[in-house]
Amino acid sequence: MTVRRVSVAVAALTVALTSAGCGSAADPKPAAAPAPVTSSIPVTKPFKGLRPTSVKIPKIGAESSLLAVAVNTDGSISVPSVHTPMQAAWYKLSPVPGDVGPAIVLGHVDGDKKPGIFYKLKDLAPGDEVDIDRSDGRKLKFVVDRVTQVPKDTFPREAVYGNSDRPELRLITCGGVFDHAEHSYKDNIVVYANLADA
Amino acid sequence: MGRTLNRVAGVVSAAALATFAATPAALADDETPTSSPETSTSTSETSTTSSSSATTSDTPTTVPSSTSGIATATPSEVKTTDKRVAPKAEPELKGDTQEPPKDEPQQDNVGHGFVGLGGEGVLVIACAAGAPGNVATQYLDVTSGPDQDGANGLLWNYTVRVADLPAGTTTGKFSWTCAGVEGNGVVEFEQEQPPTTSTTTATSSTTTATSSSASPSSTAPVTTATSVPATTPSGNAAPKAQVKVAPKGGVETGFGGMAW
Repeated sequence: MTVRRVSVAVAALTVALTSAGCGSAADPKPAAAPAPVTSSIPVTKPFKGLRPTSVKIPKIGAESSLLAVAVNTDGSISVPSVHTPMQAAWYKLSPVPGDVGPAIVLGHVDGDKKPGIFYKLKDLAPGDEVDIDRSDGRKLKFVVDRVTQVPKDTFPREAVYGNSDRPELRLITCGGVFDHAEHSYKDNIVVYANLADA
Repeated sequence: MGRTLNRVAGVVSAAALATFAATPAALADDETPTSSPETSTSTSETSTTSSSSATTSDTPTTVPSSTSGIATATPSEVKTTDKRVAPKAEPELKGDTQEPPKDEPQQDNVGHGFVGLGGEGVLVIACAAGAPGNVATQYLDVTSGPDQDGANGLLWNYTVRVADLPAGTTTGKFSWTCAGVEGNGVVEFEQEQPPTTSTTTATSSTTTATSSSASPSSTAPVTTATSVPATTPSGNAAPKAQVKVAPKGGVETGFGGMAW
């Protein structure tokens, strides 16, 4: 008796789930479940529009070319591989440095058991210089305005990503306490800089 | 007795080995921030991108498939009445790589779109086979792309701009093909955050009454529309955001745990 009730319930549930299913026979053939990609995919067609090409911060000896990155499919910002911690990147959905607005440049504090390009970013102070080269040949000098340390879970989006009325630069890396369980730092270091001759 | 001691020594050695092997990859310090480290960070890495051709294929070849707001691309017909389709993907070029192997498996043929308050945004499509094709969008014009994310060659980006977005629409759909296999994704239209101070006014507020937008066609993508306060700017009318899409969360740029 009990078995029969269970069977009926299962059958009803099956019918309900089936009838609630998406798509009709006329729809395009649904894609098979995508397989995970385990190897790296070469970057053969990177962004080639107007962009910054390099960053240099004399005070902390940091110098790198700049990749152009956007976001991952979960909306988090894409960052250079942990295996290349000395590689910095420009967030291409932000202004090109030198244009009005907050240009976002990010780099690792460390990775792969090695110091990263922004290992000493927190040591910057107001007045320090940040040099950016662009693909159009312009060479820009930014001057640090302030250095902040902010928790990632209360990241100040408006302050970092909000509009500004002049060309500005944000340098972002990790900092603060290292969370062993999450394998990640709790905070971000954000350096705010302004174009020197703007 | 001697044999027993040997066994004990063996156990201790095995435990030591196991401890060594289990040490986290990160050279993480204890959870106490310290003064600034002395390690030099002189630079060496000067990886540069190598491909030289500009990639702004700007000849959308589209035919609206219906009146539902989603269009599909056909390679041979050129109609300019509806531009809500990405330029045809260019063949993948084989060239230098900038990226070392990634450790974690990533999902292929998935995608998501993000449109910021200024009405501009990006479609992100994971396609290991190369540039996606037949990108079709809802409420969006594709303004450039595809190009690969500089840090992750699996990800292809199209920049987009809102077109004819019904007020209060929070999501739309888009589709593409990757190696001939169709993929579908959702586009999120960022909404202005409502004021944190709520309450009690005499006027009747229009909050959170959900209404799904009716699709004119059975094959049209379902759009989730939620009514929002009238003061909320839609993507069409919102002031331009200098950062087109504000990334979610903080920035994950440290994995070694050796800096603090």
